[in-house]
Amino acid sequence: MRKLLPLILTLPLLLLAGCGGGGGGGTTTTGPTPPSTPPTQSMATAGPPNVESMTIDTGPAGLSPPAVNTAYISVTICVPGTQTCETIDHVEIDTGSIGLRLLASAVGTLPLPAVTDATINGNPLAECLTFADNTSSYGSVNVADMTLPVSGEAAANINVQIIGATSAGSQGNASNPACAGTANNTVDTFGANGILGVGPVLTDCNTAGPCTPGGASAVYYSCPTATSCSGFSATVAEQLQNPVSLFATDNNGVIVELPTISPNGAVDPTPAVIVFGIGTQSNNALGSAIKLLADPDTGEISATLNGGAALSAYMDSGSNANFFTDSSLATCGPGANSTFYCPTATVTEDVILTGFDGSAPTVGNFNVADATTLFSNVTFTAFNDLGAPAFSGSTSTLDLGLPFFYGHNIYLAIETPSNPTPYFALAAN
Amino acid sequence: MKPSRSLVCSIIAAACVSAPALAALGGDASSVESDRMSLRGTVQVTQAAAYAVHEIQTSAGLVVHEYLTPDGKVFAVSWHGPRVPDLQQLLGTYYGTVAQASSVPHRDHNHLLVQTPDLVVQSRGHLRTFSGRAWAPALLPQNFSVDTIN
Repeated sequence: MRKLLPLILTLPLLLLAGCGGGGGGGTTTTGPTPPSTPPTQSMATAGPPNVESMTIDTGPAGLSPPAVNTAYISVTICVPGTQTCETIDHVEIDTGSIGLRLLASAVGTLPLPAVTDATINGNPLAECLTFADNTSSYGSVNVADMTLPVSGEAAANINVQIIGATSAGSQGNASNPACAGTANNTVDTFGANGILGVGPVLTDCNTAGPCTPGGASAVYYSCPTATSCSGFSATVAEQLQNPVSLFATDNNGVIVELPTISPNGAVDPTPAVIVFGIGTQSNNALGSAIKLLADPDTGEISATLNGGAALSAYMDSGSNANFFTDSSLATCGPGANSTFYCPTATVTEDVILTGFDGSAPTVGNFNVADATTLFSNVTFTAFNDLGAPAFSGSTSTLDLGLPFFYGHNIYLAIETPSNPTPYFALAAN
Repeated sequence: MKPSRSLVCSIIAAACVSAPALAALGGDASSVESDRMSLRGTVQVTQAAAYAVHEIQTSAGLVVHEYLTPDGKVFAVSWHGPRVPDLQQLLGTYYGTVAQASSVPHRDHNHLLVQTPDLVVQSRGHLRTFSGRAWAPALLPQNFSVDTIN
């Protein structure tokens, strides 16, 4: 249980918070070691063999509402073993998920073969991807060769979810009653033409074995026909893999490197890159970046916010704000921005990040500004001080979204059989 | 995913017994076993002075807590695990508010906050790690702290 892991350092605070005894508390239990400040590193230059450039713009053409704080790349996919290919723009880089997923409307007619279950009659597989906002994305699982056009990094025969593909039937009808939630199967709701999940684990369900169906919560489905899918225990090979782990080299992790931007916001700031591999090339050494070990089950680290009790934390490029609970901050009130914080003056949140085991205390402060003021400049697409309220109470969490990535080089090291503890590492740039 | 148990430390000297019945938010304990059936989970009940917690665990690592008043009404639910449970199943007649919230055009899919006089929902997470909780303010037992819901 991850909340219990930092037990030695935080037990008194944790118990107090768990009993509803109030937040606050001191920082005296962090011991005499002051938190480290992330060291400064340079940024890599986009190009071969391992650096892809990212854009942080308004998203796919016509997206409404437009994207903010969303990092996109282009991805080339081909029918395996052929030169029948296409390049899809505005695929979101997501350190909070695993696998390549593309919207069927963006893929069009490219004839990607289906992934079929090996144990039951060779039926095509489908997948249901659920999100915390009660939306879910349903579609077929297909095979493709993938190349990233700037770096040239490539992986052959990878499993790809084609969201909204009609070959997998329709979501929420009698044939697929179990993919619960509001359908999130169009570019407009999804906010991208696809998503490249490069989180710190190897597969999107269960690295250690079959992905167990959970009744209404099944992940994979076996589909004898498009109108008769049923929950299926996909093997590790049948699940979506972390595509980075399938690269020939540079396959042990990524570094997301975004520039420092103005507190007022920015238009598509450059350079913005994702570097593949850690310690595999001259441009991706760990150096003195501070390692924060992540729980192998959850991929999450630990943090304290303004001296409070330990929280689960993670760095998720797929979250467009920093999400956390600070009851002293005003939210924006009714309207389009109601899900964000709108403090009357910019506030600094004091954050100490640690590994999930409480090790390596590191300063991770960030600012929060009035979201309505930030959004008033409608051309800006990047904000380092966008904050939003989240899950409160004793099991509150700190989701360090894309705002936290500006001005940082953020490493995600993927779990491997020989290195079962994934980690984040943090440097400034 | 290893099984895990939330820290509900206000339940001290709790007694655990097995019980079959669970219900959606606002529902009646005796009326429904459908949550457990739907989740294909096992159930354990923890009894506190003013309420009971029914915990469903599934083999896939999903844990759901349902909080019941002494007369058997579900006033709160929570969940954590590698998947989001079927909220229509868990929230019952309260689900419409959530469906409406998730249908409003929005860009972030990793969080959901609903706060109305009738229903509070807080949900967060990313692939392989989700948690959330929901309660009906009008149904809370007297002096019950929502911090207990986890």
